[in-house]
Amino acid sequence: MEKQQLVNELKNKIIEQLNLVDIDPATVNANDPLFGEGLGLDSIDGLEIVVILERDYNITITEIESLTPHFESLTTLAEFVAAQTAVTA
Amino acid sequence: MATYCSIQPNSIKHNDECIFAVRPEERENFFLDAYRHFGLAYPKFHKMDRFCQLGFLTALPIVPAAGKYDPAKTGLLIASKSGSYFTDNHYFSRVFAEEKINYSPAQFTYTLPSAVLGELSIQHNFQGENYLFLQSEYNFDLLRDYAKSLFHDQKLDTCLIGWMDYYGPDQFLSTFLWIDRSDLINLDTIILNINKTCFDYGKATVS
Repeated sequence: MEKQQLVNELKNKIIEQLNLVDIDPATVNANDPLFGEGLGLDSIDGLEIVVILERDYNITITEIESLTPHFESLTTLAEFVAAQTAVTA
Repeated sequence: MATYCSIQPNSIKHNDECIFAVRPEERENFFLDAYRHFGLAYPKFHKMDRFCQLGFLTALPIVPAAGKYDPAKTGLLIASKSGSYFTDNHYFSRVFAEEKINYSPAQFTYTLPSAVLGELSIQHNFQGENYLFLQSEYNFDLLRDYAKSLFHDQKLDTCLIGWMDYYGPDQFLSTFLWIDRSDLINLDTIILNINKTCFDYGKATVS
């Protein structure tokens, strides 16, 4: 899957899973921060993203702390998913 | 001066005025429609369970603007029969009834009924005493007596007290009352009127 396609897929999954009703996907940029500014997610939302990774991409997360650098933006998250799914493919 | 808000599946009433109403066939999106009707911009609302959304919307018309009350001397006393029963059921059916992983950490946080106290405290910066009482029957008198006690002990200057139940899209009710120290002298009468005029709740409690 192309990187941009994966970014868009993750964006839509996050918006749906987190019920971000007021957010227009078109206004979310790939490099916007996921937490704090940007999408404004919190720690519980981070766990919801872990559910997406495990359920939809078969990625097993054993150490949540290790995800921090991958959760900076949709771009870093897509790179992480691409790398993990390539490993398991 | 005491002010109240009550919500039933078709309407939201502020004191004696209906401020939002839908037809029975439009109930499905009642909470989201009310959110949009009031022009709210509070993204966390969409993450809350229905029990918390009910509390959020009931408090909205009656809590004064920030700066008009002392957060440290404002209490929050809520009682309920249902608690988070609906959310608990939904959560467990989602986790255990489906083969695919489908748990939701966010939803799990709302299987604790007192989450509504946290949501209201965050939104309005309440910092005084706060309690959620789970009761087997409707009992606004308990709230009245508890509020009186906290005012008497000088712990509060203002207080949000209320009853709320959520059993499903067609079965929910709430009444919140905003009071300050000056209301204490009339509090018995105010509660009596709430009991009578809101929805004759003592008899009509959902079950």
